[in-house]
Amino acid sequence: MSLLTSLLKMRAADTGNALRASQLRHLHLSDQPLMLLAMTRTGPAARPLAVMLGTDPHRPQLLVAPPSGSTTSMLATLADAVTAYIDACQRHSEHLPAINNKPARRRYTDAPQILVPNPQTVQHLKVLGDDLRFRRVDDQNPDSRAVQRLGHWLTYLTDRADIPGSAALIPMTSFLSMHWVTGQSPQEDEDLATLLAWIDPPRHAASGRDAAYEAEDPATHRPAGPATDAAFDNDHLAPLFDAYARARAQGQDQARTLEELERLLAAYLHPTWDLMWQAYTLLQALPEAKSSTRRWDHERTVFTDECVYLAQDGRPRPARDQAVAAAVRLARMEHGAAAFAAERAADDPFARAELRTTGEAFGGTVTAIDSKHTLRGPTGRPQWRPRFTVSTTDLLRMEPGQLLACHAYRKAGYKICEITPADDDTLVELEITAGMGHADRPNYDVLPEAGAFLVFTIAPDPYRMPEFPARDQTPWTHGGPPADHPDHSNEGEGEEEQ
Amino acid sequence: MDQATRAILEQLPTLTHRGIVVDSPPGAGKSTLVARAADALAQSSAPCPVIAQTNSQVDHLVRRFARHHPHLRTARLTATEHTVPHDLQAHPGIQIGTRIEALEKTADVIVGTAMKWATVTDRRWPWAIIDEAYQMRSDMLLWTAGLFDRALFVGDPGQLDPFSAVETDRFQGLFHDPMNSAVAVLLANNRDLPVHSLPVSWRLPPSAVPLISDAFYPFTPFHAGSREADRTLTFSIRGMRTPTDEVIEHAARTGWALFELPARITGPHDIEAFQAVLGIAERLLARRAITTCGETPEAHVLLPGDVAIGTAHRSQAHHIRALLARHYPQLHGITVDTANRLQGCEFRVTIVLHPLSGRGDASAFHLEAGRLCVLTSRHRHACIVVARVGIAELLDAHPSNDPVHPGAASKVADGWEANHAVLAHLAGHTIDARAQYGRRRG
Repeated sequence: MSLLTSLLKMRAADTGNALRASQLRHLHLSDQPLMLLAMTRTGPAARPLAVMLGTDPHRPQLLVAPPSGSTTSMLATLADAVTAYIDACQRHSEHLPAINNKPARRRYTDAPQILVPNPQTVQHLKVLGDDLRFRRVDDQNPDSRAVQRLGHWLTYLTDRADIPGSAALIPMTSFLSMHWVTGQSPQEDEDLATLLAWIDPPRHAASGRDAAYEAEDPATHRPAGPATDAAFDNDHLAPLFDAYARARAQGQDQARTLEELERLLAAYLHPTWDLMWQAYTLLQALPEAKSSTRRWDHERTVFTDECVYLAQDGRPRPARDQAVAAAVRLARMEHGAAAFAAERAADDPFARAELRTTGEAFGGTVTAIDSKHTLRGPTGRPQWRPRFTVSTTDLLRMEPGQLLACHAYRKAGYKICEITPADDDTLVELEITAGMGHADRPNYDVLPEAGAFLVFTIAPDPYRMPEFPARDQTPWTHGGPPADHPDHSNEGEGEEEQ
Repeated sequence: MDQATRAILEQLPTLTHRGIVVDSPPGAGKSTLVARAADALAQSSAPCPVIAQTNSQVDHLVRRFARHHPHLRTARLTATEHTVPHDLQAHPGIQIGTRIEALEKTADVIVGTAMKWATVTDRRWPWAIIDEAYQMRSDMLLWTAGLFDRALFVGDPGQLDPFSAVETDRFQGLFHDPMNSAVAVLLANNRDLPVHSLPVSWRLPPSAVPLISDAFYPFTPFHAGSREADRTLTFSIRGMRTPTDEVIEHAARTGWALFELPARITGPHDIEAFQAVLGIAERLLARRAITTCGETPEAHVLLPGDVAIGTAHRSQAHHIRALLARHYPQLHGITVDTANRLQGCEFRVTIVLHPLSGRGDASAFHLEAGRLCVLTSRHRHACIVVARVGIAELLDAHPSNDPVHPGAASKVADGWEANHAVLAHLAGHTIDARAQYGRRRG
């Protein structure tokens, strides 16, 4: 936790009200997200109990798995609902002209966005996806194909959820705590009901803290899943399951028990369902950060690629990443994290303030500008490298040579030339290393004005996705080319480069 | 060059395996081996690429080639963003280039970082040398493995493992875990590769070897190359019997000392500890410490460049550097850096701010065995640790409870255990920072 977050947390704990941790919303929010709540049975890891989902806050669809026997028909209904949602995203596409060495192609104008209450639900969907995507497709049984397809999409979505800045599958508690700081512990923040009570207390509550206390009341509190609580299992589920088993053994009709089960679970899930939409409305009210559009564009590209893969190949993703695929995935995750952090800092003054407390940024006033400064390049040709000095009172933890970025001139790059500690402040001499154009066609826009207050953040490392060996070229150091199923993870590469 | 190095070099030309791994404890002649091996392998028609991990390691190797192997045509493959040090730029025997095409025809040895080598494509040389292979992440090896048929992997298994900024356990247990070290993945996939270890540390004094070997190298023990009498550290100016003087005298006599500050939870920025560290450095230099060493019997007066201050966090190093610049001009030239950056470096005396000093908890970062190992194994003569009281209790309150994953195991010792071993050893070398001259005499 950074110093600023700690301070905000203490202040929130003191006042009893949550504080904003960012000025903007950093993830794209779809106009029509698919809300999804999942409940599992205590015991078997991937056996679902119920799923509530839908795009309309007033008309959720509830699917309940029977207490015993096959869950395939429930899963098939779930598959139909999810696939119908995903198919709807493929209705329109746009034309992308060829750039660099990439051919022209089409991209869907929308991509699926699934909102779930918490990271545990993401984990549950991952387990479910791992189970379903390897199920055998049986031509006699049309449901089996739908179920396998559901497994494929769940794997795709949960894989995307691993990548920072992706908005394909978002756990709501993480989404909220990215934008607000509450006065409760990070563990308590993982509970949607109390987190939301802190952030958006009901009108009658005196403060967020009071609302959170109220929300904690075991009589009304419902865990957001996927695990149910033990009291609910014992007092409500178990009797119904027993009744169901008895009816089954005696050859009686089980429909009544099932109806009752459905009613019970609907009542159990509804409070969380409403909370999800409340959170959605809250987040929608935040102004969206500029860069989240770029990330959503990328999301649509990846989604389009996945659809192409499904249409052309369609084999399930392997259970374990093969050597090249694992390295590619790690590179994507690292690059995603770095790009997301850099873009947040560029977009959001709150993010920059936090970086200033950790020493990864500093803010100061431009005091002097040497707009004529030139360097002699390696070939002896003079290069225009304007310099200027910034006076800062921030604690500076950087050294000369450090490359910087600035929110005000995003295309420009800077390098620290000299740091001179003075009595009350520190003078930092900066050189513009990128974005100033050529000596014959200079771009004067990058020159800051004297007296301007600017914040400089550490520039992310220049990123080049390395050239990966092809899968069948996996070197001997990594066990050589694998024998089993190939995958397609080299697709859509380079899209993340800006 | 010792027996073990010679044996490895003799094996290289006739090696039937595709690779060979050499584990090297601190100061066991890793750089010598790399330079000699490059010399031997570059005799043939093709150049020998040498892959190191950081720019400073590469610069260091290049300097070594230029000095000890002047007959080799050495090239430095560098990224455009990196400025190669001036002495290398000015050296007539070193070619510097950003593109492989400019170097491959005329050089015997080409040295570059793994990151830079990963951008080289469509080349294949018969041999490559990978230095600091335990610091290399295995995905980096994946991207560079196409450049060579066979490779010599040299590295120190006790140092810091490579890390990633993202947290995920989805690769855990894979034979090719991209977050694991290159050697771990190499050996998991090629179990028959010969693994050698260099058995003698030429850097560490006999006083340090048993502790470092036991605590950090349980799988590859080593011994000291020097004798007790070979390494001396004496002072030409008498001390004032302050705790600071006492701590440097104790360290001079025994090779170890722990300067213990009163217990307090201070967070990473413990000004009192920073002052203590700098105070110790100041007294070391002010009292004109004189070192002698088996290799160079003549006395050497300790200079700022012979001393390093090691910390766990960058911000701590930065803070100490700022204090040094402002209040201790006479210490100009001392290296102040984090464990990560001190890897591979060597000094006569090191002053270490204990990673757990002043902390309220012990996270995996602070418990990491490699971190403490790097900090306590850089010295030729003495290592002085500065810490607050209460680390043993802190350790006991935070037993390591990281999830255990089956699969490729690291050769690194358990951090919690290693920390306790070092602490137990230092207990016999403790000087209380509060002890007053008068009180102790009575």
